[in-house]
Amino acid sequence: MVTQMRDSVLVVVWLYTIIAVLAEVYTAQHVSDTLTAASAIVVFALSQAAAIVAFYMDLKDEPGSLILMVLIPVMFLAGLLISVVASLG
Amino acid sequence: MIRTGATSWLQRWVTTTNHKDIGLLYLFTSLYFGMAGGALALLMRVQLSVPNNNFLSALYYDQAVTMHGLIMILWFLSPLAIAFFNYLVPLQIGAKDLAFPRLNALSYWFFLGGGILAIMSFFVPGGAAASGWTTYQPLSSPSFQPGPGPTLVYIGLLLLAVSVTLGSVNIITTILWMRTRGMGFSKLPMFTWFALFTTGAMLYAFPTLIAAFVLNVSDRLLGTAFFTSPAILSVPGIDPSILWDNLFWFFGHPEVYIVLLPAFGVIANIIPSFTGRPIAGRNWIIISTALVVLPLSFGVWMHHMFLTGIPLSLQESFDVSTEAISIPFGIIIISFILSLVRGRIQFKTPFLFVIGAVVLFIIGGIMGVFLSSPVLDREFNGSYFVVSHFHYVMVGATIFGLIAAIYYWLPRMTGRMYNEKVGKAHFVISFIGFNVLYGPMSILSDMPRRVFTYPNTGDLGIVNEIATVGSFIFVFAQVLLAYNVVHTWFRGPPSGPNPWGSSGLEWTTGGTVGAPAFDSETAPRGGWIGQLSSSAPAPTQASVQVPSDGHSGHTSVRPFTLSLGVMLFFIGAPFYPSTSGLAAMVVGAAVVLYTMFSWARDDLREKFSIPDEGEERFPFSGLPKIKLGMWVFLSSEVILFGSLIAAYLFIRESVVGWPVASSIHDIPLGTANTIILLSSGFTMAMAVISIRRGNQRSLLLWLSATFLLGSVFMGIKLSEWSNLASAGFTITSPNPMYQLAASAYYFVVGLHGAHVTAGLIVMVYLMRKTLSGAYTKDSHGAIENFGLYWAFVDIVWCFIFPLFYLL
Amino acid sequence: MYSGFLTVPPTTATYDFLFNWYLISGIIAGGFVIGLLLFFAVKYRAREGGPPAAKGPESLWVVVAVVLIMGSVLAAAGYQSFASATNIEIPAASNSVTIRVTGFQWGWNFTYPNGHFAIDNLTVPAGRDIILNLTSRDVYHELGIPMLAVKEDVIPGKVTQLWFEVPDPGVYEDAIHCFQLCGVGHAFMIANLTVVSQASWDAWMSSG
Repeated sequence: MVTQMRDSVLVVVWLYTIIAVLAEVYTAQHVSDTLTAASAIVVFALSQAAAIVAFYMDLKDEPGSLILMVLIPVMFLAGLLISVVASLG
Repeated sequence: MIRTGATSWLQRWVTTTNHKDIGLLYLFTSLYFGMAGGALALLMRVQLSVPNNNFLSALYYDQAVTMHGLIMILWFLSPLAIAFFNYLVPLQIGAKDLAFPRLNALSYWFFLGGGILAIMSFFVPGGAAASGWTTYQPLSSPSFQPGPGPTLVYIGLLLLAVSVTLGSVNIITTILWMRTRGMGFSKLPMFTWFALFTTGAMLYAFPTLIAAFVLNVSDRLLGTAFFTSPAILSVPGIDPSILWDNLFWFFGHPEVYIVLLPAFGVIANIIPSFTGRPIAGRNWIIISTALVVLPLSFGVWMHHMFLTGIPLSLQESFDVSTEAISIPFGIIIISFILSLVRGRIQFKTPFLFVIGAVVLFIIGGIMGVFLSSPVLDREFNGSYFVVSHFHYVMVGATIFGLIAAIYYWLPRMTGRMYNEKVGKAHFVISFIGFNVLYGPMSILSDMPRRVFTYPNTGDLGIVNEIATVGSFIFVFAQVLLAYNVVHTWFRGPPSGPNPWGSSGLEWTTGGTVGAPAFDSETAPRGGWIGQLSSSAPAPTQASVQVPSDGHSGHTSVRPFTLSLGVMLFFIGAPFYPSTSGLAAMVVGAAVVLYTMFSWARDDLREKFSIPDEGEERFPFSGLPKIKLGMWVFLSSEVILFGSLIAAYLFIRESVVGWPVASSIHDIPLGTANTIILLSSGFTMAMAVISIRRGNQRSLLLWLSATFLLGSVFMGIKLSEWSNLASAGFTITSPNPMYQLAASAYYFVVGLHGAHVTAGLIVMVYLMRKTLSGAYTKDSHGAIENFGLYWAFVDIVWCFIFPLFYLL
Repeated sequence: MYSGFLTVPPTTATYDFLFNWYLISGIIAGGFVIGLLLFFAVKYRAREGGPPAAKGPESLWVVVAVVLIMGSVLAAAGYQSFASATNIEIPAASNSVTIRVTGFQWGWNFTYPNGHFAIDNLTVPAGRDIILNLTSRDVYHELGIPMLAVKEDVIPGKVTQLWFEVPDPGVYEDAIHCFQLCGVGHAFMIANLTVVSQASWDAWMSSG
């Protein structure tokens, strides 16, 4: 099933990642409110990561248990990041 | 080639990749480290036996207490559990070996190499690390604790952490992928369940430890300023101590469950042998550990930080989560107790130690609940109440549980039965000595930890004296264990194939009983255990098919030499640039390079054959073994890079006056470089697609394109760095903000660059193999797995670029 | 707990109450569970001619009961702990006295509102809230006064706080210790606590 992936999908993902990078640079230079800029940039970065994981690493075609296994550290990481920033308060 | 005598004995142990051999190596090495840690403890107890003593100076005492903690936790308790994971898990699931045998050997040699580095530190100028096993900053930085000794210890610790990470990838993949037919998860033995839980927690906890200590060692060896920045005292708000606290305890709290869970696995597994009936609440135990203990263990770490000035609301949420985690433990303990009801209990030595472990866990666990209250913690923190608590759970519950494992499985490992009377005496004296040692000290909430002496006030003198007496009783009781193990190994009476009447597969499968007298290459296939398995049915495992002989004979010297080279390199590193330091580094690097080259050549010539895999793979069927292993590994790397990025964010957010990114970095160049790397991700994905279609030429083309783009990325990176350096953006900059920013930038980007470079080197190997036609439509696993790795490297950069260049 | 006070200070009293609460609950719970374990171990021991082991696992409604009971006890404990948070929250009383404390390798510098400082000797007026603003000059320390059940980390680059109040005058030698390993002098970072009457305090504060 994985080999059915058409080259065009990969090309689209590639172009998307590049567009996302350019969008990040544009945001950093033209959005004055740092919180909005940072949030937008993080969203772009996460979208790039999601696209690469799903399409270059074929995670969308793998069993759900593997997807879960990959999500677990992401959740722990989110917990670490939140608490680390909260502890600055 | 069979050699004889001492050389063949050495050859066997240095080149083995067999799980039973490695289990025995771990067993004896960890017991050795346990004795070393115990010796340090006795020295400490002698010093503390009376007030105002001067048996040990403050410096020696501080080194002893630090190394005692590190050695016991990291080189004794967990490796002892890993010894049993190695020996038993493949047997229990009907597999012939672990998923990645050479990696397993590498884990062991890294564990030993790291331990050698740590112990060496005692003998170099300045002595060993002396800032406590918790290695708080900035006390552990070169500003306050200079010298090569602590650096050796922390590098040794990193080697151990790498060993553990590789080991957990190995064991997880084994349990998920190599179970024999019929061994669904519902039939998995309890010890293997807990092996899975433990290694799962290790996988996600140790990367943060690696991140923390890499930052620490970077300060010590490379001169970065993560924990030493002069800005700390001159600019308000910089909190390197709190950064350390968060990173260390995010690892540290799961670590204590990592230490404890194997003992619970032992207990759950062996109780039925002594009660004659199955364990009560088996599913409850499994569910509550998997769904509550494991996730929550990553959600309670700030109870070690109640006193650091964090908001009260945060303290109270961690109070709640810490209390919540005692509930699944309550379920587990009640299940253990209910397992006794309507049984027919035999009080053999392993069972005595099980009872002892449970009793001591209950006491220690309740003490832990006291510590979950921020208000009570204001009285207990940093005092001997805490020392008493954690020794009750780490020594009482864990060690008593693992000693039960030694007695219980000694017949499996040697075919001989231990001496029951000596075993019972060992238990009674250990239990008494343990409680004399740790019981009274729980009232000393007014005595600080890690003090090398104390004034003669109140109860301090008498309690410490009692504790010292208890410590000698407890330690000398272990002589009985040593005697029993050694005597049994060589002269014990035959135990029979299944002395406990257990239904576990480890008693009826897996080839010869692995006494060292047998040569793994020439041992009789099957042995008497193998002969038995064909005639004796295993009653409750009727649907499980048992493989005929599990004793594998694949060897390789590469793990040993790789570890030797790494160890040599890092022995020299703290002494650079002295000649001996440089020499050690050069020799070590040469050995490493030679070994990696030889390892690759071994693969090209397919000199190392991996045994057949198992058949029960749900829910990972359809996934090749190495790919599963790669995914497991990458999920731990998520935490590693994530922790480093968390550290970076913490440093930035706690500081006012961080240099603006666009004033330092060439944004257009950085953007172009990012596009180049992302394009290499695309070309790699195309390479994978090509070989899936069977097109070797396309594969080579796309691989070369990836290599080219990756090399250009590194080239541009290096020129960026040289421009930055000449503009004054270095870690030796007199501007403390620049120094801190430079430390973060070069370190994180450098680590990423090292990953890219490693990828480039592997690509050369892959291209070479492609040229020789090794990859086909149906067999190209290496390309798939490298594709995963390269994509991951891209993803990390997707976060690094905006964080460092744009924001 | 230290019993040399004429009137028990508020932080000590709160701590004592909470500790006793946890202690009694812990002894009851631990005693019950350990007792149960030993009772079953003895009752079901193998005996000549005794009954064989029962087949099949034990029924587990007990586990549900355990969860409910443990949950309730822990919830109550947590509630008590939250209610005792007054020991941690710095009071806003207007007649409090704030003293700056700088921990260093290896001693305590107490700097008073009038600018005077003392090493290893903390003097405070009786009956008033004392707020300590803590920071370190070098490494991580931890200032603790066990008899008052207060303690807080002392961190370079950061200011943390603790508070206490002692109702009656008195001299308490070696009342203050360092609880975080901070180098070879860690065991000697000991300070005395002297509680003086309001009048003595005022006199001392106004002297030059």
